[in-house]
Amino acid sequence: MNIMKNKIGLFVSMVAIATAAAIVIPACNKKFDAPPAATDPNITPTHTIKQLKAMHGTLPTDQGRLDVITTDVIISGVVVADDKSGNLYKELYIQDATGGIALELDAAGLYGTYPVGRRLFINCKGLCVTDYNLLPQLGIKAIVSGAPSIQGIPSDLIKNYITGGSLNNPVVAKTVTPASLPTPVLGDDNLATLIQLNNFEFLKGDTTSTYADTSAYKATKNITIHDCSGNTIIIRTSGYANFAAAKPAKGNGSVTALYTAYGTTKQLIIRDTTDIKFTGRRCYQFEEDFNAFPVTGTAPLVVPGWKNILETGDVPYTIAYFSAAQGDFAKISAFTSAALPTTNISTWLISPDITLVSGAPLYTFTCSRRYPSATLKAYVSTNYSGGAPSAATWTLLGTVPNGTASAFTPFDSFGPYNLATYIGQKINIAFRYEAAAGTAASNVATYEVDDIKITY
Amino acid sequence: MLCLLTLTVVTGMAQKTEKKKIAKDTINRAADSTEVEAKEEAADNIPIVSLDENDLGDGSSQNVSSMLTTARDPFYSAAAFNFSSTRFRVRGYDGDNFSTYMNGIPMENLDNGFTPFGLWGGLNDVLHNKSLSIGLHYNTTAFGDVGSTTSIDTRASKQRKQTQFGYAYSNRNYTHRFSLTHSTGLSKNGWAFTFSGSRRWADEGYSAGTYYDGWSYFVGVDKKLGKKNLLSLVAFGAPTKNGKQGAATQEALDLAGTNYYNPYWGYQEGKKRNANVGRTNQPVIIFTHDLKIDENSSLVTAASYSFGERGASSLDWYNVADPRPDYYRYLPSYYDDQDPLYQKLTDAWKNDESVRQINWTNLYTTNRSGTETVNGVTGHRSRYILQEAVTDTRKLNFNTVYNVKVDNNLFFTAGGSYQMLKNNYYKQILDLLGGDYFVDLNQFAERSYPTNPNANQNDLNRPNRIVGVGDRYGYDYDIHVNKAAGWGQGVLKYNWIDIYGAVEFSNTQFWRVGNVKNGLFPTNSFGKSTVYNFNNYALKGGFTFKIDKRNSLYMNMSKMTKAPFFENVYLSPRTRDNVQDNVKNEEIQSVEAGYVVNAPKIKLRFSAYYTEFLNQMNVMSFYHDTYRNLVNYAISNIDKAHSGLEFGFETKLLPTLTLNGAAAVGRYYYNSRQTAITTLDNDASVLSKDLVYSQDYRVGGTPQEAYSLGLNYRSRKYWYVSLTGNYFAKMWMDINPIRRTAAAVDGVQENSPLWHSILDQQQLSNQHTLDFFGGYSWKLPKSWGLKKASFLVFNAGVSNILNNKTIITGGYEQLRYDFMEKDINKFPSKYYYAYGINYFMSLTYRFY
Repeated sequence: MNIMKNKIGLFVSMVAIATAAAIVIPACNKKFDAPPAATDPNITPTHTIKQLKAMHGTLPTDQGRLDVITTDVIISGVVVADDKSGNLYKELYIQDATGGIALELDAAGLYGTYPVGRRLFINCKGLCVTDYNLLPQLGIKAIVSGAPSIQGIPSDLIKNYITGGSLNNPVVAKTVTPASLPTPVLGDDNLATLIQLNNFEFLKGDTTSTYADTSAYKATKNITIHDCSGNTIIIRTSGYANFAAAKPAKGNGSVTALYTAYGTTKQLIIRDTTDIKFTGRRCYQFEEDFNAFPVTGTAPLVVPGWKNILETGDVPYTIAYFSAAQGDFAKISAFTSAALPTTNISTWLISPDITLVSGAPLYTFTCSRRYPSATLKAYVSTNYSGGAPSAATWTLLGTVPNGTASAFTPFDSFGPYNLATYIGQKINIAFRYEAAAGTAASNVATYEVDDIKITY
Repeated sequence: MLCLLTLTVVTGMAQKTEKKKIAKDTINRAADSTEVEAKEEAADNIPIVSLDENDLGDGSSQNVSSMLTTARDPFYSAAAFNFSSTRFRVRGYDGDNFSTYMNGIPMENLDNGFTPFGLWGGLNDVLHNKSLSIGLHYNTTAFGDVGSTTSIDTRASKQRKQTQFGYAYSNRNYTHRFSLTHSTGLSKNGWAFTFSGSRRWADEGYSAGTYYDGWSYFVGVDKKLGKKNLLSLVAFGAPTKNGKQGAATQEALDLAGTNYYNPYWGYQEGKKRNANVGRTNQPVIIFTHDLKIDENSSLVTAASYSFGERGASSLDWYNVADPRPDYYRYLPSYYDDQDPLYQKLTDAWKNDESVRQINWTNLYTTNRSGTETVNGVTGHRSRYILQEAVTDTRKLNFNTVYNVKVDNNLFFTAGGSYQMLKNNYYKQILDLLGGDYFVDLNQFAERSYPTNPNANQNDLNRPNRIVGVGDRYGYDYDIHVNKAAGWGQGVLKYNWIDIYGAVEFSNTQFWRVGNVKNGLFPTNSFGKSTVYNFNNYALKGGFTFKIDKRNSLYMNMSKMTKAPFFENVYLSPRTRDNVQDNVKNEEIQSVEAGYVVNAPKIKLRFSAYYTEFLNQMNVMSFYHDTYRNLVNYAISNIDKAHSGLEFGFETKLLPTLTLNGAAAVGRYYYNSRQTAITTLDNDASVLSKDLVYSQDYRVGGTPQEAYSLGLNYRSRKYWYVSLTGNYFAKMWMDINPIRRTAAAVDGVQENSPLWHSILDQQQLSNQHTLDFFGGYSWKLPKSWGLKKASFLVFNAGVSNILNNKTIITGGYEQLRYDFMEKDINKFPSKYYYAYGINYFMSLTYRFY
């Protein structure tokens, strides 16, 4: 009986354990739940972004008016720029096939929810469409400090207007040429869209600076870029951008950026430094604009690689500044010279060694001057070794015409001087300033040299 | 795979042991009981920490395992002590599924179901008579909970006649403990008395800034009237104050250079002052009448009353900077790591202790700067104060249990109980910190409703009230809970099988009474709320199949409903009486089966269980500094499924050498998609209603797998040593449900690293500990002239001998989450770490 019971017991216990195991084992390491992935909601846009902007108007008289949308207007657009780098703040740019618009939202960290590539569906009823100095904006009208203005949609209300859709929609910048960007006006379809410009570069002097102000003030900064044909445009960067302290790229290439306007001033806003693909060779194989160096007053110019040699007399080249457009330049004048009454003045400004590498090295520079008595000559040498200029052989390329006493000439361009014969060689280019002893100080010439360039 | 493996081992064991020849039980019981005492004393000294962010000192912090006793069950005795360092919860259940009775009275809190162990802390000497009913097994004192039901008999006549004086020294919660206990035993004329008292304190506990200051007292009187009646009265209390340890982010811990960094204290005039002090003083009086009606029946009737306060202090402030040193904006990580401030703050945090601790001087200076006139009072208006959240409890219990043996095979039990609880919740000012007065205003409401002049009034009945030390302010409300229950149980016992069935019906009512009229909710903050009424039933039944005298097999089942706890129903009882949308009963269904061997040379239990909890609710609150407000998350439809295997054994390798082992392999899952409703404390409108994608997330806060293996040597010379190794796995941080909603990952690429960082549940690393216990019981020689048998008992325990300081015992995902930016590192999880090597030594002098 006992044995019998034992066997039954054993059998029952095996069954019980097997049952227990059957219950427990499937429970091992289940997969975690997860919310569904983002998809587009079942919302059909009623308007394009262009149509929305048209509700604000395209006439100059429409500028700045706050137009509150009172009807059901639904737009859909893909985020082309977010606030991840900090260059945009409480703002997104969205775009559809017809154009783009800046979306003002009173919340930080928007990129977490509305990253570049996400399609948004916006019910604009109750929102306000306007422009900020021509730049189209969608936000909310509010009275702040007594005056109506456009404000970001309060963070708690964002969900009432915006529905997020699918992620990773293609964001392709439209490639444009500088010529195809007319002076901004209301209704310019390029505004607030992502564009790409090719063959641009920063001014050489700016490549040693930073994108924006890195001081505590975190000021916004404009930097000009240009292409080899001399077209220029501003890149505007916030001091709060996480790349504010980065140095602009040295090469030449394409820039992808938001095309914006501040009145008639065209401005680009990059999303981060990966939008700047300046990896190719620059427009010029040698250039110097002196912008990277501070104004020296009467003290001699000191630019790395350059030689500022007082062959006779006491007149050095200095760095001077006149206008923001021109920037810094090299200047020489014997006007205050103590030696001039008795001594011939001869001062050389000799470039660093340049090894010419390619087919059409055309050398140009600009010069502004005033007063007639003195000369400035441009030379090239292949055997200058860094010492006294007289030890080298200098080939005269040109003499800058004298100025007159009445006014400074503009910065006229000189050259191009074809340096093709020197390809493959190490050369130095130089300027020599000469004023004869006894020249009246009131008549002695001043020369201002800038934008020294040698093409490839 | 692991589950399978365990099973194989277990079945193998079971078969083997059956064949073993049965030897005489030779355990040295004297040494055994000494060890039990040592472990219980050790358990009494396990740190109590807050387990969640909104622990307002309502006693929700507790260590479930400490309610267990060194029952003869080999699994439970391991779970009770060896697993306690990682806050192991039996079967992963919440604390409200374990109940404790003392002298016939249910001791659990009606507000959250937890057993308030602290009420009898330090009184170990009178708590030795315990019985434990495991899982769904029947017992004769109560219907019982799904986890376990413990009965403690502290009646004077049940205490062993003896006098003992003890001293203990430890580096855990307290440093010193003195205790004195005297029990007279039952005298010839039917009286028995027990007196016990203890003093426990630590000037500084294991973590910096913590301290402990506790007294305990116990008086028990029994009078036997005739042969049938035993009247018992016990009264006890344990007034305690302790400076707490706060959880901190790993960043703060790393910067401070220790996992025991405690943000709760700061120097004040050269002395460490802790802002977060817990205080309890809730005496309990129990009257018990034990009537032996006849040989076959008995009636135990008990009534109890407990009253008193528990409080939790913390800093409070009004329109000034957050005084907490580890506030997230004060940490380096608030800044970009390229920002110069990042490095400056890192250096300051690392090298300057005053930066990472509370700056009390600064709080005093702020309070003393400038005078202001409010409501006719001119003086320094305190901006910072030390406040205490107080729970003042009045609890009345009545319970009666009738047991009858109908015949040799049929046993019947019936019982009834009535419990009444009134808790008064309020805040009071402990210290104005140098100021002259504080104004009872709601600064959050002031900012939210600048145009409503009443909004910022905490009490419209007494607007702009000037408050000082000892005054109530902020909120003040009562919760009433009444619960009536009746139950019956029948047990059929035969040689080969026991079968039982039990049923319970209960009714629970609760309501809120507001004592102040909040300016934001003038219509539903003051006075009595709706009475919420819940009718519940509980059924259970099972059988034990006795294969032979030593081997048995059991299976039990239970199905019950449970009234929700009020704290999971009221959205913000501090300000108003709004409740969750759909208030309904929780349902629990559970099945368990097991195999037990109880032989002299081996004790073994293997069991498996599956339990479902359905329709649970929870309310969580936290301060959100963008909303500048307390945010409340009301979570409902919380289902959980707990399944697992338990295995424990104890076998004698030698008459003096025992090998014991235990394994708990569980899988505790959230088994539903929960609903989360977000509201603000200051606003009745719903901010959002979200579906929580919580299916199959792990229930956190306990290791789901725990193993121990120990060797125990018990000399015939009355000393013993034991060494136990423990291993813990599958420990998960409990989830913040709000981070598992579609809104939380809105705009995030599925399966991207960011997606995973938001959704993935953090698994804590597996851990191990090594613990030692040893003791010696010395019977003092009679030649010393001692009239009575006298013993000197020495016990020592060293836990975590390997000094593992990386064991996270708890913590929480911060409830705050940046839905826009979605960077979880902005508000990272906070952790508590288990102590490194820690010890406990005690010396007891005892005579009979």
